[in-house]
Amino acid sequence: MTNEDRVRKWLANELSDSERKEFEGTETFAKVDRLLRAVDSFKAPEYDIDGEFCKLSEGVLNKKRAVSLFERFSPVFRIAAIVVVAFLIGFLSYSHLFTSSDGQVWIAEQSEVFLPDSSFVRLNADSKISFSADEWSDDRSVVLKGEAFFRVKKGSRFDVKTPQGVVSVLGTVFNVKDWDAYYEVTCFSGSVRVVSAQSTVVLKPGMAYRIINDKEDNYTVSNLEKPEWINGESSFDSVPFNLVIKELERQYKVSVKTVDVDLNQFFTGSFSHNNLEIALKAITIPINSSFKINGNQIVISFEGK
Amino acid sequence: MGNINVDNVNNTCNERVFNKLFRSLSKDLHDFLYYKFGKDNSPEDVVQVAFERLWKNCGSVLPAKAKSFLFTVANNEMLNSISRKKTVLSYSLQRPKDYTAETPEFLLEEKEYHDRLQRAIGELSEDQRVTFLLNRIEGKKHQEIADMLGVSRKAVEKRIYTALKILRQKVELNNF
Repeated sequence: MTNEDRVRKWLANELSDSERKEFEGTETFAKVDRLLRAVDSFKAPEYDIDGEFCKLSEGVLNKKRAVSLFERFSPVFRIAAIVVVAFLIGFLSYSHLFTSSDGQVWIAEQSEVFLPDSSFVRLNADSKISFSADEWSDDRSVVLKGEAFFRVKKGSRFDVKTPQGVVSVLGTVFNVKDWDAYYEVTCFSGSVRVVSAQSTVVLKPGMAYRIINDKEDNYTVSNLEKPEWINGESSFDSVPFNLVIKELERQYKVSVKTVDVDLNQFFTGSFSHNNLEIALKAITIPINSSFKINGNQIVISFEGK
Repeated sequence: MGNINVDNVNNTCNERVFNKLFRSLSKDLHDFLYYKFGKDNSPEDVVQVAFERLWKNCGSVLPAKAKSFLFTVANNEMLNSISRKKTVLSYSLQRPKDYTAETPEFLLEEKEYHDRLQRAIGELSEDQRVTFLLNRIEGKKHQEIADMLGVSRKAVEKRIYTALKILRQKVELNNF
């Protein structure tokens, strides 16, 4: 048995009595023992169960308030009151389970969100999601406005609902984009089913499906890990130029006017998220145009004949 | 609609039941959060939030499921609010019994040893750290920890051994 084996077995209590006695006389053990004793000094601070429960009751259970109310009523009233309160609590918690999505809170301030089952969502600029934490175990469904990247934990069906479609997955990694004229779902791992107004498609890793200006398109992507925007770059493959401009406006919070630019021309290329000038060069040079920056107003003008 | 019967013993909404759940689970939950995420992330506050959520959902969480509900909620609360700081646990330097007899050099070496250990513990992965400390400091058995974290007993044993190995590498000075 090597020394390391002895340590491992000692930790797991797998040494025989004689082996253990022998090991505990060695220098290795002396070092291990010293370290483990020192580890004890990192014990968590005492947890004051009574004090913390008091805090909880005052905040949430509203014990104090209920007690003073009760003190005023006769026993008969108190019993009736308990029944009413219990019914009310029951009714409220019951109806809470069926809150419509209008009652839900949008999450937009953080760009990264962990869902109740630790599934991970990363939001792109100007995007937001909403979901019901209470119903999560029965129904994993997220409403998305804009674009987000998902890493879903294996489990029951997981749905992402946007105006143009519903994406259903079973534990997988994918990206969903819905900016009105531009709907796109990219699958990076696992398998993803997309139901849109026009069709139902199943995507495997590397496959993407999109609807641009009502036209459907299937294609493949080369980066099998995550979309470029997570690494700080927006990338486009034959996308109408006006949609490229919209993404630039979202990323940099600017507003763009164009002069003589053909907004329907297809653009293939990318721009980075950390330098506005370089980003503008990246999209204007390929289409033979120039730009002027005026605070957060940009003007792009076509220079060709 | 079983919430109307206030004395139902298998009902999390029953205050006595809820109280008991708090008494039996809050310390473990607190320690789990402290060892995994450190003192700077207000573990006590997250325990409060988790139990508030349990109370709010008492109608749909059976007492037997409360533990896994609380641990999942608390873990996610942490992940969602955590600042990207390095995890810091604090330590209190153990005084040897007759420390007046120890030389300044010894005391200095002790302090440096603890400093290295503190940094090394902070550098462990969250999973390694929480598994190792729950076992060594709180004396939790391997199977107990496996149940708490939702992993196998073998995984727990491996994490503990790996954590010890890494700590030794970083803390022990090998004079070669």
